[in-house]
Amino acid sequence: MTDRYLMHGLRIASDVPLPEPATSFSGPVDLEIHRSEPGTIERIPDESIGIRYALDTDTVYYEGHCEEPGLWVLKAPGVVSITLRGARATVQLGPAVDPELMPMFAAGLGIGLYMALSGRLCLHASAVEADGRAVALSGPSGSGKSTLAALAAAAGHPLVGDDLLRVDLAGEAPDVYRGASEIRLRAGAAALTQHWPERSRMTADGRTAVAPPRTRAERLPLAALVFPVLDRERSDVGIERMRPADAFAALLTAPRILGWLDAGVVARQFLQLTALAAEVPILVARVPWRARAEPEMASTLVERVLSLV
Amino acid sequence: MNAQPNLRSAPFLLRNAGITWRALDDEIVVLDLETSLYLKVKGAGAVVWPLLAGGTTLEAMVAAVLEVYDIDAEIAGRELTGFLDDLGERKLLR
Repeated sequence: MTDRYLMHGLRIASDVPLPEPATSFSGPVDLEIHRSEPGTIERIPDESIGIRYALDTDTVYYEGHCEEPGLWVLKAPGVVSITLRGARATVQLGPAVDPELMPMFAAGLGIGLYMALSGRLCLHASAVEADGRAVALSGPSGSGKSTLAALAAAAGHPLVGDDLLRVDLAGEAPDVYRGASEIRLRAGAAALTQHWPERSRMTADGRTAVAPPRTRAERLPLAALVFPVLDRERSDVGIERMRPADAFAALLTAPRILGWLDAGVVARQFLQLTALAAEVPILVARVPWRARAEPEMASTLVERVLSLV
Repeated sequence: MNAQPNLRSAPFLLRNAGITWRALDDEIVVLDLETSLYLKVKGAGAVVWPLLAGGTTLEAMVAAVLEVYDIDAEIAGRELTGFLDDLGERKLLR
């Protein structure tokens, strides 16, 4: 069964359920997502690599290549393969992978790959709304961005999105689009479900997904992008604005799909990330971190960010 | 007869292919697409980078640096020569 979704400013038709309420609309879609039967997912030969995000030569998170003009394949070997032909993505899981994980891969790697190849800037970030603007949180996996977004939501800041955040640089100032309605929390942050006990569920990868109240706006101006640094020694939130060139260097780690070797995508991302560094305050927030962080701390973080921008 | 080129008036020009750059405040960030390396250029290098993009001489670069920094022309020339050597080793100059 194919459902339709409006997320990231895209009109999507998908037979893989996405972490977003399905909706109805008529007319053409921007992206189709389809599922494929499980199959063996092997490495991509070195000579044709166009994307490689790896810890080392043996430990590859994902890699991809352009098979022919308009046809890209992204693989996490043994786990998932995304085939993108134009605006049609097909998701295939490895034989031993829980089918319940398919929505996560479709919504993250699938939509992320489509956005990057169609020229849209797509960050690995969460965001909440504050005073009609978005405050985004970026950083590598485990840096606390989802937990801080959930804490800020618990303090009354509506969710804009989690994991994948589309930034539109075409206007006078950058905007971001509302994304998925859920935040995926690691075990250490699962206690946050107490704020939305009726809107929580366990995910197939052992996380807890919560769906806090979300923004009603489909797009919002981006007030600031914050790289959180969790600090167990601190007692208060400390925020520092990065110099634009340093902000650009930090932003190099922020795209949802990393490891691009394709010259066209690399050059386009350079222009997009330098524009973002020039136009939006990029901040480092040192955040006091406790076993049970309180929503008030995230609220303080958001308020201090807004006071600086 | 002196066969040495006159470095002060010899032309310097960035390689014209595979380099993208942007000024961010008083610094320059550069992408070398041939090596997939990013560079950050600051200080005197950032002052003369736009000149290098259009083609310039050491003499003109020294003059540009002296407009910004209160330093001796000889020191500026020495610093810039080192900077140009570095760009040459990175194959960023024509």
